[in-house]
Amino acid sequence: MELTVTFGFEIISLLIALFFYIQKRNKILKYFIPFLFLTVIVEFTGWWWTVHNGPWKFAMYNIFTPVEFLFYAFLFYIHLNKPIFKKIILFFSPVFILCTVLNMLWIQGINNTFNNYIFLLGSFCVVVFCCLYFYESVLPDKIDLQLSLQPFFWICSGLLINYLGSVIINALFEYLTSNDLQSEGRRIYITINNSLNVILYSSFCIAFYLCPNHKKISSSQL
Amino acid sequence: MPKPQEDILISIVVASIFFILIGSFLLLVVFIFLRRQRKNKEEKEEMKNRFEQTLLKTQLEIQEQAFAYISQEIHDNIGQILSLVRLNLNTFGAVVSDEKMEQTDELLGKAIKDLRDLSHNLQNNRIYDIGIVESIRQLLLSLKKTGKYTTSFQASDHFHLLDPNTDIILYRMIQEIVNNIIKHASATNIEIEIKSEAEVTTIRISDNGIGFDTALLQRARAGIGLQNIINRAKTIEAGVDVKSEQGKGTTITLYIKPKLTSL
Repeated sequence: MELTVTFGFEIISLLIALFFYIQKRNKILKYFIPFLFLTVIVEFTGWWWTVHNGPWKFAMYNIFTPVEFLFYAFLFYIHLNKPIFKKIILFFSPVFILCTVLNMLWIQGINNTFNNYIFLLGSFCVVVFCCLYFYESVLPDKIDLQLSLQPFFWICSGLLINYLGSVIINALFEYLTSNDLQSEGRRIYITINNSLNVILYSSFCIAFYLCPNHKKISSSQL
Repeated sequence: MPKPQEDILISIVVASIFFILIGSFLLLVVFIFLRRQRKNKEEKEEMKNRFEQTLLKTQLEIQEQAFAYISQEIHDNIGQILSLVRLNLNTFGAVVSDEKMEQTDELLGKAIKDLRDLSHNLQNNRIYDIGIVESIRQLLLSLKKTGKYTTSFQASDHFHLLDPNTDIILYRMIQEIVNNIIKHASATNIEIEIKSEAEVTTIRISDNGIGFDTALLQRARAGIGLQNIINRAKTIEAGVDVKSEQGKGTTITLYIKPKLTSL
């Protein structure tokens, strides 16, 4: 079994993040590097365990999924300005962790299957956060900002398209991977998932490119 | 694969694509909305600027009319009266001593001359007639005659190609700057240089006075004189650059885009 396109794009975006971090020392890049590094490790381990029938494949994905959503929540917390929106994110995080634990303990288990309920809950919240960000972007005080030049706009766009597009396939994950749909279902799941991940990581790369240079600030004005 | 299952799979793909399209549509709406908002804001600002410019032009026109009226009054009325006083004074003869008479006559002569100069300075037509270059030359000459200042003036040949209305406003700006130098700079030397190029005409007025901290211009509200200069610059879309160093004088540079008049 070959490594997926997603894995390739994850590595590319990690390398781009590293490259621009060396040049710009930007905060977003600083947060993304460990996250992307972790994503690459998880993806590679997932692939390895799929090939060699590793025992903890689902458990690893089920633990990584909440970490992923909490990371995105943290990014939104930094970038949203309205206190009420920040409070919504602060409320979301413990509730999400609680739901994850409850789901692992009593509903879907930790290593039985992919915890798609948690993924759906996380996707829903990320889409809501994206809408909050876009709402803030169209407020009068932000009009002067060129949206397409804002790194977080690209991150947000990638997340919005990715999580909106993956709602159906993840909601029907078990159905798609069931025995009678084994080949076709999996193929559709992987194709849609890969395409969405290509969009997601490409937008991350654009965001990294657009990150402002923080190295220069300290030496200016004098 | 059975037909119903195939239909379900197709529905799943279509639904996923549909959701992606919703996301893309949302992004598009945000983009279009922002673009429209920005355009509206720009239009509003442009209208505001145009209104301000019209207002300033009207104010300046009123001011010029007032100047013309005062100039006419000085020339035709006060000037005439003072000339009559001078004539009358000469008929006093033995009543006043010769020395006092000469002093008074001299003072009256100076007052008449100063008033005439003031009248000329306030008169628009004169600037139209002799041109801005000659007007500036005369302004500097009158300063030189006071004995308090040394002056220097350099102008490039093509400068007369500026629009006559712009000339009047420019001359008033230069007058205001020179007035500021006289009032505040404690300078002994005033230099004016005009460089006319295809893209921009530059007028540089510099003095060797005490100078000032230009940061004060941004922090505090500019004085009336400087505010007048800035307002006038706005009406002719000119740029104003102030460079000053304490103890080393001030240089004010005006940048004007030349408009060619139909000859």
